[in-house]
Amino acid sequence: MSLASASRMTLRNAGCRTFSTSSRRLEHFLGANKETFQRVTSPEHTKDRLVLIDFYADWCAPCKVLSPLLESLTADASLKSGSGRALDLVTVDIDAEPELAAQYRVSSVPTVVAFKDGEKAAQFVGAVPAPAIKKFLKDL
Amino acid sequence: MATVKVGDTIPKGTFSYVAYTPELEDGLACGVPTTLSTDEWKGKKVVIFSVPGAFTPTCHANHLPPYLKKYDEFKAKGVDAIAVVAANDPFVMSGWARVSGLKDKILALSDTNAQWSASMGLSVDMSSRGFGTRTNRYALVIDDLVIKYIGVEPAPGVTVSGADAVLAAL
Repeated sequence: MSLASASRMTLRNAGCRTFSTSSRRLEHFLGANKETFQRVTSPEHTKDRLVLIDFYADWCAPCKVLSPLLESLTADASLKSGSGRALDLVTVDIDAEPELAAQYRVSSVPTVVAFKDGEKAAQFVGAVPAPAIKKFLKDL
Repeated sequence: MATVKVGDTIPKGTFSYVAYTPELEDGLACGVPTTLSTDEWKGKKVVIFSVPGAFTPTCHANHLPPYLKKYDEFKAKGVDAIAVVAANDPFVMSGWARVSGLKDKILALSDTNAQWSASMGLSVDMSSRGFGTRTNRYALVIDDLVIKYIGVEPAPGVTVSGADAVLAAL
């Protein structure tokens, strides 16, 4: 499980050095287990954020197309949902977490489920292109 | 031979299958097998027909296509679901369903190890032809899990288990 923090240090060339840090805007929880899943989809965690759950399988080629795309889109701190929420990404390997996959009735992968305010708000299936993902986010 | 008859309740069974979504056709998603229990057919009128193998000649050419073609006729007779069953694994059944254009009209179910069919005396040992244990060629009409029609092919070919025979019985 890795955490990508958006804090940054910048170096200016005009003879003086300045440091700036931005507060953590987004998180990536890759290869999540049930405990992590429950924590990041809880009402507390999702009240100001939109959490995207990327259900994938290692043996599925379309997942290998969508997952990196989701990672790069959600790594962009300026990308927000339609309602202004910051985006978190959780990836779940359905072979490692079959109970979670069954709980969310995942019958094909990739399936992306969006959580807000502790509840599943929407989902889409398939390796859709970036504009389609952005449109999906716009409605949330 | 068949150990069930009209009036009997079908034994409980669990199939595995890949549920249809349009994305499967575009190759934008990969199917994941889930299970379907015969319990889901309580209170429903269901037509089940069984083939020894997906893609195999007689079935592919003469057994499955008429069921798809006459889908509306089955619906008009109050059928809630049509399912084709074979001992092939759910990935093969899903591939066959896509090639045959079944979409969400006919469920393609894997009768794992032909177990459910065997519990009705409807499995057949085709090891001599390299197929292992398969489901026999038959058709069932069930209403609230009770058998209303059963047609088991006595010889190669499609007669009593075909779409026309079943429609006539509905």
